[in-house]
Formats: sequence, structure tokens, C-alpha cells
Amino acid sequence: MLPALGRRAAGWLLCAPALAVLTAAFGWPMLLLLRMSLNTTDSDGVLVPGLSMSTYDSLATSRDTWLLSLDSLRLAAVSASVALLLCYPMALLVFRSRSRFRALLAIAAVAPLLVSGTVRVIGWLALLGDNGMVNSGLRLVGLSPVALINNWTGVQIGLSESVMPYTVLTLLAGFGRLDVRLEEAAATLGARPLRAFWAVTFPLTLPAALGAWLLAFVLGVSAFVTPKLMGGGRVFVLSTQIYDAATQTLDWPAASALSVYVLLMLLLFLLAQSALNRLATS
Amino acid sequence: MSGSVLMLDRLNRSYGGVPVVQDLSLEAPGGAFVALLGPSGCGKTTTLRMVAGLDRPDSGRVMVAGRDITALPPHRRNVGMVFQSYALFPHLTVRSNVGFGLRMAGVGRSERNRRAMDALGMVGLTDHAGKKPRQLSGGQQQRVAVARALAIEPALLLLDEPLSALDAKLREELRVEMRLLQRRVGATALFVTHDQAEALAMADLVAVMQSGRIVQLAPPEEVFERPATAYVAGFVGRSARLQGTLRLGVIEAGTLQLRVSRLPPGLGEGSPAHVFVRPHRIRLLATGASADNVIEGTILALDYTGETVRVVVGTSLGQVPVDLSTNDGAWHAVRPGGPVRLGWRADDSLCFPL
Repeated sequence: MLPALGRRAAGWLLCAPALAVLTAAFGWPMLLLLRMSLNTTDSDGVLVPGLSMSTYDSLATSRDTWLLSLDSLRLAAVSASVALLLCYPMALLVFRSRSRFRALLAIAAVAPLLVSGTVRVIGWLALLGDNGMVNSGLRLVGLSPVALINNWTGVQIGLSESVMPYTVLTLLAGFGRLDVRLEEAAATLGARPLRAFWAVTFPLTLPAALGAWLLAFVLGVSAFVTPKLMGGGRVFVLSTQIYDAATQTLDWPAASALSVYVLLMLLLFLLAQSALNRLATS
Repeated sequence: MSGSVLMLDRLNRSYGGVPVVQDLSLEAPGGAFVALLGPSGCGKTTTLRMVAGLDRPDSGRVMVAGRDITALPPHRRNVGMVFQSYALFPHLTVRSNVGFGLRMAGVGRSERNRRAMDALGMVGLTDHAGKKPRQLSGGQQQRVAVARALAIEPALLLLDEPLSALDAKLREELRVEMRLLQRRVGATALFVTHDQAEALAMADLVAVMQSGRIVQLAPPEEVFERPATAYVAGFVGRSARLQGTLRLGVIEAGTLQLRVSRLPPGLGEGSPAHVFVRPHRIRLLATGASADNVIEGTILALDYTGETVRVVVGTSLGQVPVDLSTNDGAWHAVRPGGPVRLGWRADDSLCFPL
């Protein structure tokens, strides 16, 4: 049956179920979102249907948008960097391990994904709260407690951890070109272990590291649960602003427009990354 | 050239209680090309890795040029190694690959480039200096790996199955090329191979390995003509293998009496024995002709290979391979199913205890 259809038609046919689901569950809502962002809200907060760019205009001219964006990007960038610094050695260890526990190590590294993000945040609250393990410990040794939740520090810690499993996975997948023989070859050519790492391992893993950083960054910009719960209502980023606009002030056009804005920004980063990748491999 | 450049002294290595290399000793004179020959799992690669410092022996010593380097890490050994997979750095150009060792040694850029180009010149690849390894063919990559190992002017060159990833014809070309190159630079080389033809063709000394031990260390001709054990005879070259019992100085096999000119020491009267005969030492006997050993049989198969015809003869003692030269047309008379008489000299019977 398939040969009669031709390869191209068969390909489309095979993709059809997934395309249908994506159109219904992703494409259509996105269109609705785009449409909503073109409506306006009057001074009483009543939705005024229409085709206007005025919501975008007020977003673009508002100083808050830029401050929120900067905070969001900084939070995501720091989280991605912390996650990468912590995950890179771990991923390298797992990748190079010849132990029979290698699979176990890899599973342990991504096990947090098995737990809901909300549950993990609650775990962090228990650890970092005023009477949490960290502060109890500090008090025990006679030090004064520090505020680690309901502020930027807490969100930063929680977000860094929450993107780590993705970072490890991306790194492990990207280490494909790495081969222990290369480091051995470097050693026989007189390279000390650290030198071999910088001259061989590091450049070969750089594309994977960049990819992992970007994924963590994108996840960090769009993260909602961690900033919301660990920020305790005192940390404002783009995602929490969208949520508040949609559920508290019920300004749907503003929420939609801000969503579209975040979407475009992330798309830009992804495009920049693929352009960079092409440049690196050519 | 005087003295031994490489000396391995009773090396032992085991993995998880399983001995991989056992009491292995070896001496390689300066400038020699030494082959470690054996089937996979015989410990030859582990031995090579212990010389490179990539693996540590449980006991024993590795000496290079009279210096004990057993405890030195690989980067302080000045030993050039060519890996089976070549292990070229994919992110560096061919020139940077070859110059890598010099860069690690702190040689300045211009000097480094000059010496890298010299090394590339030796393997005829100066035109490809600016390319990345993946842009080269397998044979070219292999030569870059050799140039990279030689560029550091190593005390010792190690080669781990350096030709195994190449196709048969290229392999034979590179055998000659590498041999010439090694002679030219005068490096002492130790190479690992499971290919007995490669070992015989390239090496000055062949160390045949079995289960972590060297069972024979000798020049190729000696390994082939006077194998030390039945294992060596079976591993190096093809043979007819006949079984019998020693009775009154001959090997009794079925109704036949096989004459051998050298009996292995310690083979007692009535002991079972193996007799190996190389296929090219067996002749087809014309009617009435005789030989020290004569056996009758039927032609089972003919395999024309160009220089020779490989004939398989079925006899009362099993199948016997015979190589006939195609220099004259005599082999045309041989037909499958036809009866045939085979003969060989007592000198050509290699006898081993069973």
C-alpha cells in the first residue's frame, strides 16, 4: 500500500496524527493567543474586542517591561550557568564511567524529572525555609539565619536545580564525539591531564555545553512554578507577570501580548544558536 | 643500535582476578620492529598499553633505553602511539594534529609548524596539512596518526593494530611504506596485530602470544619454519594437521607411518603427537615417484587464487590442504574427485606433543 502512495505522500500520512494533535492542542491556542493580544482593555478593565496594536505599544513603552525582561533574562542566565557548571563535571563522569553502575548514575542524574516541579519546590522550601535544615544548622553552630526563600536568592537556587536534569541530558547526548582514546592520545603526546582536558576534551564538548546552556536558559525564562512559589510573591519575572495579568487583574490582552513577546524573544535566541552552530561546524 | 631500547621484565596484569598478561618478558634491540601477535584477548593490547603508560602492571618493570619508566604517567614517557582508531583530534587541522606533541612540549609556533610539515612530508601528506581529519581517507588518516606519533621523536613507537581498519590492498601497500618509514627514522617499534601475515611481513621479531604469555619470540622465518609449539604452528600460517602416536621413531597414524626429522624433546614412546605440514611443502607425486611421507587421497576442492591453486585433499587422516604453483600448467590436470598421491619430506614434518 505504502509504495503505491509514493514516499512523500507516505511521509505526510505518517506525520498526520502528530500534526493533527499539534494543530488542535498547540497551533489553535497559539492563534487564539495572538488574536487576544490584539484586543484592548478600557480604563474600567473591560475587554474591548478589536484589531489594535495598542497593548503592544504600551508594553514597549513601559519601563516595567524592560526591567522585568532584564530580571527574567538575568535569572535564567545565572540559573543556566550554575546548572552548566555543576552538571558538566557530572555528565563527563557519567559519560566516561565504565562502571556497571553507569546506567544507575545516569538515571540518578535525571531522576528529579520523575518528581513534579511543584513537589521539588516544596522540598526546597523545607530545606531553605526560616526553620529549614540550612537555617537550623546555622543556628546550631551559632550563626544568624539567612533569608533563602521568598526572595531572588531562593528563586535562583530553585531554578538552577530545576533545569539541571535537562542540562545533564543535553550534555550526555552531545558528548557523542568524545572518545577516551583522544585523551589517551593527548597523554602519549606529552599532555598533562589538565592540559589534555583544555586542548582536547573541552573544545570537543563546547557545542554540547552551549546547547545545554541555551536549553536551560530558555526553560529558565519560561519557568513559572519556581519563581512563583519560591519567590513568595516578592519576585517578579515575565512569567509571573503574565500569570498575574491573566488571573489577578484579568487583563487578557496584556497577558497575551506579553506571552507573544516572550515567545518571540526565545525564538530569537534559538535562531541565534542554530546560526552559531552552523558557523562552528562549517 | 646497540643494546635493547625496550625491555619488559616479568609484567603481570589482571582484571578482576582474571590474569590478562602473565610473566611477560621481552627485549627489543634498538631500531627493531617487534610484533606482538596473537588472537583477540591474548593480552597483546594490554601489554602495549602498559608500555605507553595507559595501563599499569600489577608487577614487573617497563624499561626504555635503560630507564625504568614503570611508574611514569604516559605524558612523561616520550612514547609515540598510533591507535587502532587513529584517535586524531577531530577539531584540529592535520598540521595541528601532527604538531600537538610539540605544542605540549612548549615548542614555538614556527618551529612547531616546520617540524609538523617535516613529519607530514615523511608520509607524503604535506598537501593536506590544512584539512580536518574527517576530510581524509582512512589510509591518509592512518598516515597522519603515524606522523603525529613520530613528530615528537619518540624513544619508542607503539602501534595498536595500525592497519586493521583498512581494506586489504591498501593494507599491503602501507605495510611496506611503514616498514620503510620506520627504518628511515630508525625508531624502535612495537606493534600489535592479530594478522599473522602482517606480523611476518613487517617485523624483525615476532612475539607470539597465548593467554597473556609470549610462547615464542623469534624472527618471522623461525616462527614460521620452526614454531615452538603446536599453538604457534596452528596460529602462524596454514597447515595440514595429522594426529598419531610415537612408535619406534616414527609417528603412527592409522595405517601410515609419518617420518619426522626432529622429534620434540620429552616425547616418549607411545605418546600421542601432532604432525603439521605446510601446504606449500606438499607435492603431488607422479605415478611411481616416492617421498619420505606418502599419503593417498581424493581431490575435494580447488581454489584458484592467482599465484597458487589451493587444493583440499581428503585422506584417511582427514583433510589436507596443498598449495600448487600456477607457474607451470601441471595444475590443470588436477580435477575434483580424482585420486591423488601426496608426498613431503621428513624435514617438513613439524612434530609436537599433543
